[in-house]
Amino acid sequence: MNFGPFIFLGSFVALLISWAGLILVPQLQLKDLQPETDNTTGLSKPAQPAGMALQGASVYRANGCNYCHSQQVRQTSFYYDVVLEAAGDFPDVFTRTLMEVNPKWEDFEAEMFADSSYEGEVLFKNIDQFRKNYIEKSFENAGIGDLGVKIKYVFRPSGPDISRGWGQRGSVATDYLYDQPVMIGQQRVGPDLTTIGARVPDETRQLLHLYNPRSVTDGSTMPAYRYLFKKQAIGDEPSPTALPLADVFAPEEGFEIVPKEEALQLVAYLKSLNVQSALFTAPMATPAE
Amino acid sequence: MSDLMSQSSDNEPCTSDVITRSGKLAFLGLFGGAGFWLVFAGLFSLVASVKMHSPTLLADCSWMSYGRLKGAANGMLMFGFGTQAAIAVSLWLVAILGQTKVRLSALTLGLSKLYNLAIVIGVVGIMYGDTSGFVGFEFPRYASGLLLFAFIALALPVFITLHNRTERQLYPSLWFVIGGMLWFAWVYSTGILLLQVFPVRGILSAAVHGWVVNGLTMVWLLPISVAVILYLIPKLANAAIPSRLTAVLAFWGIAFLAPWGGIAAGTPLPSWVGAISTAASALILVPILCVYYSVAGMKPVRGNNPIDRTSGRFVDFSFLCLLIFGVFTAINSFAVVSAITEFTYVVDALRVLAVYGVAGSALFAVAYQVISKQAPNCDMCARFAGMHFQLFRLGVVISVVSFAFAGLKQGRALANPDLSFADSTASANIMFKFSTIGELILLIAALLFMTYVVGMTVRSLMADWKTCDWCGPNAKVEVAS
Repeated sequence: MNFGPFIFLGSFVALLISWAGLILVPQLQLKDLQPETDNTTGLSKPAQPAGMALQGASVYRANGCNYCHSQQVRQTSFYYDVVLEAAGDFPDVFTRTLMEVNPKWEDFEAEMFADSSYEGEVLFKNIDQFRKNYIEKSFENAGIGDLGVKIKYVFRPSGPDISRGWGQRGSVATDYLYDQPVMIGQQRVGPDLTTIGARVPDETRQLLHLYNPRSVTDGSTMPAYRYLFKKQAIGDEPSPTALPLADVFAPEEGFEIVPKEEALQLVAYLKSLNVQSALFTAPMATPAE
Repeated sequence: MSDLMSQSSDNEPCTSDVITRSGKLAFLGLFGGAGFWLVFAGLFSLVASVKMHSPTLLADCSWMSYGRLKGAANGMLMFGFGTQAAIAVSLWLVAILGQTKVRLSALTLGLSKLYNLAIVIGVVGIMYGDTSGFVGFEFPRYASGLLLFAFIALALPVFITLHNRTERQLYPSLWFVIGGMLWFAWVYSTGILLLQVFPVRGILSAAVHGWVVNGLTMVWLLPISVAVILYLIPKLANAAIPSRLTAVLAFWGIAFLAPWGGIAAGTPLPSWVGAISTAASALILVPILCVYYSVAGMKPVRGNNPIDRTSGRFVDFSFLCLLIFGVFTAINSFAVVSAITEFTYVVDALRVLAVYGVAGSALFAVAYQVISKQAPNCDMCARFAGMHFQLFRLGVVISVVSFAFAGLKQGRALANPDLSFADSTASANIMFKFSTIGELILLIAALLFMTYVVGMTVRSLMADWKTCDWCGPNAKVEVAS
């Protein structure tokens, strides 16, 4: 029997369904995604790249930096810290409530935490949503809010990437609104660059790292990008943009290494990767006051 | 449609040898091109790998930066070798299983040159710095457009040959060929349109990118490999597929599950996208097991023909790699595992296993079946083929194992924030060095294959010249009276 047309049609439908599922529906879901506005500064979140940073993104793409570097902070979980803002006027009631919430505490411990001297300190650290709900409900039932006790629940995104300081929260769709193309990356042969601009704000250090990564990081496996620099004879005075290279990395006597335009653009792009602001869909840890 | 360009006379009986020889120009052109790109893909990949051990190597040449070398190597491997050889395999399977001669063979040869031109433009574009920025889909759009056009043009002889088949019943392998060619054109055109011509906004491009790159492997190279496995293993074992039902389940399983993979659970897209993609990746093991039950237990009859033996070893190895790939993909789809393996060398391990192990082996199995029929037998060529298999298998095993172990060590170190990032890189370094050895062996294997193709092509041309009645030594010269 000849099932040719049936197979052709079936193959078409099979791919159509996945195309609709993985491309069309997310497009419909995210098509209205807009940047948020910072209420205090009025600036757009995320910020729209411009100028040299935008040109630097092209240099980043052209050199295939996304083969070794990711731009995606992974958040595996989240926790809460329960912070005491005000101990209130009835420490004995608060002490009793704290002991109900955490029966493991001895009397003196609960008394210490319920004291006004403990204001601003963390009562419970890294608790999950379930525990947070329980504590919240216990405090509510005890009515300690009416006794002047003020509690703050600090949201704390977590995960190895966040612990490493690569970001303060997991990356979300809004973060990539202005990226074209989006270069999430494939591997982490090098570190994640989502907030590299904040972690390494020093332009000279960035340039040295591009020129010869081992001049900055011992044993780095990152290939050198010397073609982004030029070696030139030192004139009457050294060039202000010349790299401060020493020892084995320095050029021969009478010469200096200066960055080409592409190197400066690339560093401008890397420096622009410095903001990871709290969004409605992606809150960040708000430090206790 | 009459075929003026077939190499064999229409009066010859349609044996498999006659059918295979009828497409000589097409097969030699396509496999020759595929071998050429395989060598260069291996070379570029090796240089990129060495740069990781010797960071200052070629550091003054922008064209030789690590990212550009990797991008070019990926393009050459996926499209220059994989896709080009897969077209040749599709054409052969359609002709053999349809019991008809290959149509438009010379035109196919010409179109393969156009296809290779697209690859050249794409590779030069990447080296120049004009990459699209999407890993696995790096060719700039002017090259991608030409490549798609050349692919569709090359698909025409396949479908014309299919249309002219004398065996009307479609053997299961042909389902995969029909589906694969349709799916490639769709997946690739989606990539061009939504990533390059009318790029979708923001993170949606990651969804499109994931769908496209996954599709190029899972609904193009994988189906063609399964087509080869379902045909060659029974053929070399002198057996028949015991039940079509398992083959049917394998086909529809791949059709409905394979295109859904490719998007990691943690990608910043709506969470259901990653979840559904993960589930589909785990379920891909089901159709792969159906393939297993279709051909399990078939032992190839090892005859005296050394090429058949090599071909059988290649297809057996492809089958083994397919099973391992299915198991690895299913395990890797679990969130607890992918949290460790994402962004590590495990990605490379799966890529080498899929593209070299599964697809490459299947394509080589057919290549030896086809090319060996184009010229008289040659002992040296057969030895080359045998050595090619041994080295290829060794290269794949070393690469996959070293990448997998390097990735697992790297992933475990990355998951532990108490370890510095440098420690995570250092922990993977020793195993990564082994992967460079694997790449070197794969390059030598590719050179052997290329030597075989070139050698057989030269022998074929010499044989043609000897029997040519207007150009060879026996040419009939008309003497003017």
